[in-house]
Amino acid sequence: MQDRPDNKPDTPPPQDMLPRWDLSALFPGKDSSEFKNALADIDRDVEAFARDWRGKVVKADGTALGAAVARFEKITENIARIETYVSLLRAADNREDAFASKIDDRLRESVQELLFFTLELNKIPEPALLQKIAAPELSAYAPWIGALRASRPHQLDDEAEKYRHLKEGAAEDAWRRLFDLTMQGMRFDVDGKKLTEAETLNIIDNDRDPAKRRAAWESFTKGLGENIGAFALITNTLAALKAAEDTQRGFEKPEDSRHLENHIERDTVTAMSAAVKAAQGKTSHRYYAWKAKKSGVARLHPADRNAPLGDAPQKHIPWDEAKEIVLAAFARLSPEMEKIGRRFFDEGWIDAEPREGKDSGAFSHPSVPSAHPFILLNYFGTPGDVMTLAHELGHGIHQVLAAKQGHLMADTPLTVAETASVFGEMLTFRALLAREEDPAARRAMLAGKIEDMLNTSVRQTAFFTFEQKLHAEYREKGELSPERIGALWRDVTRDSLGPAINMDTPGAENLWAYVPHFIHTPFYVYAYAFGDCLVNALYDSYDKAADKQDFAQKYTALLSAGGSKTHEELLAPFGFDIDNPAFWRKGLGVIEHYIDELFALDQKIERAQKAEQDFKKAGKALTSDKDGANDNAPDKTAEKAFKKASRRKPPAAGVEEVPKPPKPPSAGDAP
Amino acid sequence: MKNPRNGMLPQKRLQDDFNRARKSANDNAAANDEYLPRWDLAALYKSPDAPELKSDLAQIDKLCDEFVEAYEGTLEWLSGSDLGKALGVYEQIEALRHKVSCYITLMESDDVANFARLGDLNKWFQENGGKIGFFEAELAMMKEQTLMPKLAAPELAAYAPWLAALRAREGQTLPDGIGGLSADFATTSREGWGRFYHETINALRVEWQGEKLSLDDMAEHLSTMTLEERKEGRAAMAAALKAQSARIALCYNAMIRDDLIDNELAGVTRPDAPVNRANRASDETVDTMFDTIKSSYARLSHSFYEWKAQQHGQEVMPRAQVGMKLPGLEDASHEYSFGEAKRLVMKAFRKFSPKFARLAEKVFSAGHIDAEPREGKDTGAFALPTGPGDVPYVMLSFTGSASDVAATLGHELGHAVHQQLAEKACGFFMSDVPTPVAETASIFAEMLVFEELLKTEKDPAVRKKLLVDRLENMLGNGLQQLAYYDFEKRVHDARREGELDAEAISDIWVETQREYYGPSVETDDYDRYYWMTVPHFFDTPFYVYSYAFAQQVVSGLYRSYKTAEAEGADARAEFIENYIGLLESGLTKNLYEMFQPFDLDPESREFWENGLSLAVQYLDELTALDTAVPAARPKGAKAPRAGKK
Repeated sequence: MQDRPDNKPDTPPPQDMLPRWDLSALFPGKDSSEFKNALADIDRDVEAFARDWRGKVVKADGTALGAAVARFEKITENIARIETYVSLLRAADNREDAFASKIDDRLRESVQELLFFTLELNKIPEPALLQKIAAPELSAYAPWIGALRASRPHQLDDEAEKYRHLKEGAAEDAWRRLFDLTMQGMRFDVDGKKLTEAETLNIIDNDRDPAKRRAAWESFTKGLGENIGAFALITNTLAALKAAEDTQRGFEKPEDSRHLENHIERDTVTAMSAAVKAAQGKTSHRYYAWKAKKSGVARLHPADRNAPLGDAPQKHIPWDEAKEIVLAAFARLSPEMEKIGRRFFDEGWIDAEPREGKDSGAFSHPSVPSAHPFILLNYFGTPGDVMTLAHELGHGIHQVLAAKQGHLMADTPLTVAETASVFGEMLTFRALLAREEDPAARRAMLAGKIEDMLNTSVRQTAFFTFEQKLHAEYREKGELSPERIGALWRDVTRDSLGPAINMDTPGAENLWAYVPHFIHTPFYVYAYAFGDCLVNALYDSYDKAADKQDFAQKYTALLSAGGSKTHEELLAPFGFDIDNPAFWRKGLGVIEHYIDELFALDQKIERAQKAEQDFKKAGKALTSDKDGANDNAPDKTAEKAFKKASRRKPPAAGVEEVPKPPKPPSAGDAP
Repeated sequence: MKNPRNGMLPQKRLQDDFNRARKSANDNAAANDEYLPRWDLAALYKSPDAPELKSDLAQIDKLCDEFVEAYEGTLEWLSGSDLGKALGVYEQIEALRHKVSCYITLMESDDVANFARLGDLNKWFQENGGKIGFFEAELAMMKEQTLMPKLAAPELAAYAPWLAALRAREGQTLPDGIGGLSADFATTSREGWGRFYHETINALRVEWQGEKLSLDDMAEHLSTMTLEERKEGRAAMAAALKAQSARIALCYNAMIRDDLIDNELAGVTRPDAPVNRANRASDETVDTMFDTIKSSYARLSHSFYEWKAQQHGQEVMPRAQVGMKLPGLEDASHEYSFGEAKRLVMKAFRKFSPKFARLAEKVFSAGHIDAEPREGKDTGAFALPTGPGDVPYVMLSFTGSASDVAATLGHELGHAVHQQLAEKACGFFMSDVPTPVAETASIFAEMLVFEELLKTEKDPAVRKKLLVDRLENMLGNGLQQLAYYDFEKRVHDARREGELDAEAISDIWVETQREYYGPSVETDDYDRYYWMTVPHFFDTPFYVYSYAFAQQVVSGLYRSYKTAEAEGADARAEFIENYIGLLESGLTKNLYEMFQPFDLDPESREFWENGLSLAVQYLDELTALDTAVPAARPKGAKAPRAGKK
């Protein structure tokens, strides 16, 4: 499942009919006999499998072992089908939480009964394994076994692994659920209304009224402040649990287990993170200084950091239009992708309707290969929502393509997991930009895009730094008070965003508390920056490729490979070397180019405005009885003149209109 | 049994100095009966950063390191006499650690805001405990045939009762390699849930008439309301609880499941078995108690509430009315100042035994009592012994009711007396008695104070009210706590089958409460979520039955006392001697031995029936008295004291 740090739905009620998903590809209903039978089957299959294989893995020959893995794959896929079903039920309606947990508890026991299999596979000595893997039945699973064996050095003995697995249900998992329950239960007073987290964040990120943004931000940070003790307790407890587990498993640094899971070397991540920090002056610091100046202040209030620029009206984009924009964008890259994408809309794979009790985020759940992925988002009709749709649809298409690899190997390595999603967003952004004729609106879109890029690369890297500091300090000094966590947060944020964002604003110290990633997937955040910079470079290649069809073929092959290849193999056809620092600098250069592009456009607009004012002044002398009451209204003639000057091609020409390579959006964070 | 510990601990002297200073402060304040004492924890340590604390921690760390160096992994091979000496050292370390642990507990009860300041100290305490945890673990797991020959050495034999209790308590041992993992989860997650529970309930606020009130304050308000207001008030409390119910349910589920996993791994099949073993009561004794008491609901609690409903002129009364004053008794309130309450308690203690009074007085003169209700302070009441030779600390929130006098102040002081007696006789280590016995002196003290209250009270209406309250208290402890236990049994059993949401837990709660109250009380939503406010369910599962256990045990004892008193001075003296002997026995006697001098046998159904018969007697007295009390107070009768705090 791909989820992202923050997401931004909207307040205005949707005007069109928004789809809800149809889960019948998984089960007809939670009370259906199919669902009950599936649960019962799992008990039976797990028991039989354990009876046949427990204690026999090491000695089995390759052919038999290959058959066992296939059987294991089938059972785990059946388990995943039920897990997917209940987790989607819960995401669509949090009143299903207790039911879903009950099922989760039950499945946990089954998974625990199966643990022996992977543990025993890891006990096969390497020479013996190489011999067995000569059998084609087993070699088909070689990539999966390879990934499995990477965790060998950190494995506990069987009983301890089983015990851990059970205990996590009452520990890590339960603390994470407590976080979710707490966030879901909070309501923030804005203009006399009690809003949910998602609604409040949406105002902070998207509302055009600065006073309303400010009010929402203050209410949000105050609400977090009221619960800050609970958030700190959850954070500290999870840090303690992680420290204990890392000690048991022999992981040196808090982030090391994540690197192992991501199949990335610590050094590669360090190189990326250092490159992002080194470029901050030219990216985030430079951009926010400009934005502050534009807003006429020395330092921006945090509530204004993501605020839409200027007074360009934000148009509501109906769902059906969004659908066609996004599908057309995918079609330009590959008709096959467009065809897959259309199924999501036509066959009820998407739940886009915002409603009470539904998850506020956005994700595409891969589900299981024998069904199909499911997309959840909350669509309010902003351009940002269209990009979210494109992002999740990219994931969804990727998941459909990779499903051919089977349940065990469909999961793409993290390094390239964001490829299709970010690609989808970039294509869509260009399409949206091309539709827009008003230069001020175009400037706002570009600025919004840059902010998304900063939120994904600079901001998520700062999140990663914050986590490193937090866990390190916990291990060194023990529990961190809410104030101490707040101080860490403030320092890291100030460093990454630069002096133009006023981090001394009271309440800003509470904003660490709502980031779900710190709770649910510690250290995952760097993956966004990582994936984003990487896909930047990939899109750059696409943009520059002479033979677009050849690129599309390579690209489709990459997505279809799922988890059956390493990232080195996957990226080789494109000539990338991610261990090379120059590579990361190149990716970050894309952001700089965007900023250049924005500044150039801005200067043009300002010049045109100045020309317009001069023109008016001159005109006023002649027709003094005319515009007197309406000085602020833009003069149509001047505007047309400006448009003509600033546009190289008619907007219909589309994506290629802007020469600079594009960039992915989103993954921001809010306040 | 002599205390094997030699010498006086350094902090004791500091303590005495402080006590002297405190005493003079108290004497000045004593002129004011309304004065509510607040303890001064600076007597233990000035602050969580105090240099004295730091140096104590350093000393403990040093002792622990030496201890680990000397003994870890060697216990099996030590001679009995060396093992006895090791235990002596361990006892000393534990006494030092105990002071730190008490400081944490007291600070946390003092003000919820202190939790954040104590994080580091808590962590230190856990880590430090982890260092020497091997000692009890090795002792608990030592094979019986290895341990027995060593017990021939008198140095070790002196600790035999402590070893027995340890081995009963820690009897469930997890397989090798799992024990460490289990400890990790316990100190990180399990303790975190406890903190979450307390912080959430302490921070809970009820919206009432534009104000935000704590549950305690709100409960206090309720007592002065009309039925309609009470219904609204209870609805507001229910709403406040319901808003947190999902999070508290999650926390409760996680805690139960955590225990369940370890229990299953250790082969424990009933969830209360570890508690029974620690209580040194057989599962069968607990079952006999449970069955006997539960079968008394109909003739006790049902009859009582039926009577009460009738007094209100109803066949079935709403739950909100249960706690209301009875018609004709509306003005029959007697509010006690704290000074008055203290005098009453001390008088009752003195009459029973001057020794009791002396030991109770020490709590006041040491300034170890905190009776002031305030925001952020933990709810409930306790008595906590802080270490060898020290006077226990007592916490309560005194609001001036008769029940605050008997059931709270008398009760906690009874504990404090018991703790001092046992500590003096058996030493710090072996004074730590299992829960049902730990309640013996406290409930007995309640009964003594109650009798004193009844004796001094002249107003017949107030007397009737006292009797009603007393009975309600006896039923509350002796029967309703059993219903609480029933609730826990059912919840823990159901949790085995899967997670329970807040409503499912509430359903079980309502069912067990309905069984207790009978058909004359109609439940409401506040009652439905009330389980959330019972800390025992979260802190010490299954502890609650020990209240019922103790109530019936003490009721039986009290009947024996009354019989002895009726027989004459000698019989009375003999009873008191046996009774003090029981309190002094600490860990040295088992449950069954303790009651032998009184001819009582906890294994028999008669034992429990005997206890229950005291409540039956009170109920008879009440219904008889009822007809004797005139509906209106006679003219010129002493007006009850006006309510104030």
